[in-house]
Amino acid sequence: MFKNLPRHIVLDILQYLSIQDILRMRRVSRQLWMIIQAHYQMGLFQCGSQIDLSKYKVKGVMLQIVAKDSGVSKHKPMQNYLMKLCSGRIELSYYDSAYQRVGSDEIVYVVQRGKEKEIVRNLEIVGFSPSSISSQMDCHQLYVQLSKISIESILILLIQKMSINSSHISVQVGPFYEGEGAWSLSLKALINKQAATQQLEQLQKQTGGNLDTEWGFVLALKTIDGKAQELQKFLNEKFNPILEEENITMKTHSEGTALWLSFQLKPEEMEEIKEGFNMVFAQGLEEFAEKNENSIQMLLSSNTDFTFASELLKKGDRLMSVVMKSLKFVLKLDLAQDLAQTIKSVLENLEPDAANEPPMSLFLKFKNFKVDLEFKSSDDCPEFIRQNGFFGKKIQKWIQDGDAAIQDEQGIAILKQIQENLPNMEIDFYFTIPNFLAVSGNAKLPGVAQFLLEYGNIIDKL
Amino acid sequence: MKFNTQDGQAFEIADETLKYFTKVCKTNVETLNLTSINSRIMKKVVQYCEIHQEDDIIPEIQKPLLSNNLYEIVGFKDAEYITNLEFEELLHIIKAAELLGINTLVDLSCAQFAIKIRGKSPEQIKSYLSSKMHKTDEEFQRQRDGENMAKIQQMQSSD
Repeated sequence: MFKNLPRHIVLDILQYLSIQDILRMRRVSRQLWMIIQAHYQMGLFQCGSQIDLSKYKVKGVMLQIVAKDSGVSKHKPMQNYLMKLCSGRIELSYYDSAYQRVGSDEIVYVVQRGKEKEIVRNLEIVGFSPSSISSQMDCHQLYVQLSKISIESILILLIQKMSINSSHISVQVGPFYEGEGAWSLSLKALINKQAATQQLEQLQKQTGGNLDTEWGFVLALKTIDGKAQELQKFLNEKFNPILEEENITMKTHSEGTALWLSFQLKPEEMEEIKEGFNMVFAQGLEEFAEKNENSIQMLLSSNTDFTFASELLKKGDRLMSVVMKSLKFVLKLDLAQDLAQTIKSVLENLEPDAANEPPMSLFLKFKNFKVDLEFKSSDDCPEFIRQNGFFGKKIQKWIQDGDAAIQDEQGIAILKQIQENLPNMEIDFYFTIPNFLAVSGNAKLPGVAQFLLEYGNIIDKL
Repeated sequence: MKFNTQDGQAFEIADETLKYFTKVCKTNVETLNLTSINSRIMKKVVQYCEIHQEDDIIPEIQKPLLSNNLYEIVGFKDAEYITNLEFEELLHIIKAAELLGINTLVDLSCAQFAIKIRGKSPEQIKSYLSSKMHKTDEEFQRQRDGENMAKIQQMQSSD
């Protein structure tokens, strides 16, 4: 029906609608959306209020970014742009062409083309509703999981979020790890049955059949200081019994400096994850099917991580390419935020007071697809440790008062052991669901365990 | 001034009403043939002008809309006039008002149009408009993707 109306009338109608309603029009008709884009001369993006985390509930951002011309050079300004915007370093007034708060936890920013000349001129930023994804992981659910927290469940929690993120995510934690405590992942997401099977076969072969690779996730910890066997022994003796109480099987395999761990998840948990993936795929596919072949080709060719997807494209299997592309898109852009929020929520839940005290106030900054988590001022952190102790005030007092039970001492020991090793570790990980998905990645996570150890009261949850 | 509609009906419009026809009121033409407006729509258009005959000014409608209740946004008689009109009728009224230069009617109709789609999901909007909407590129694409998926499933099952 819009097609039957003169363009200016269409725009007249749109003037009566909110930005959110206008954004929604992109799914009503492509032609209508083109009129909107052309008229407003703007890149739009909608974000789940990452601008000021203290004021809003963060659910994560879903961005769909399409570079109008090819070339990786466009990613850099985009990264800078998001980083600045999300860390609040750009005053809103600079982008004051229009912005509108929608609801209690959602903001739509309208950025006029030309205002940020180097960025939006070459990029088209379109936002869409995050509801289908964010509903999977609300705070309530998170805290329910945390009520029975263990190192393993923290890892699962992170891996669950992380594994469905592609490309590079870096997390910087702690006062001493700034600049070095990077956790970068490079995932190859394979939703191809054959590729997943090959991955598993290779993994089985590599670990001499000592691991459960049927389903679950496997970590390969590469120590660079030769503590693999020591850590393996420790984990088998101390950590495994705790996991067994939760009906989770951990198997280990060491080889030189590498230590492999496999965690076999309960089938029902795996089903939940599957459902989550299905939602992501469905959403991504629907979104991405709107795009034409050329844009897929362009984006695939600009992403070296997705060589597999490129191969599929070469074979002319467009649908699979679309799926792959959707995967990349949704996972790369949206859930990276989710991961950051998860980490933040975990940390805040562990030590709520610490997160709110001025020298320790956490903030997240999103560097495009990279997520950095750091303290506001690293200079203040040693002072905090001096005042509050290595484990944080609460735990320090708890230990000093002699309230630590045997189980808790074990927990501290486990954390210490991991702490001693993890800072120097590099991890390869594989996340597999047979015939459905295999995600592999590499992570360098110096400092994460130490960070959790120092500032988290997770020990009393063990 | 006399207007002949598409379906051959003639409308005599008095000067008090004609003042809203901004595109034609100052011309010297006595009779105008409206080839794209039928009598049903013309009646509605004239009705609008008649209910505002006495008005010196018709207030502008606030943008964007802050409510889905037109009665809270415009005057009672305007709300009475425009609510309950179907999309298609609105569309024709917009076109007619646009042609004749009745700007306040264009605004009112656009606002009503916007109210009908405000806050609705894309699917709901599509279904509202579907009677008159041609298949979009997106739908064609979805159809093609569906066909491809079926082919792949067929190939996989034959493997």
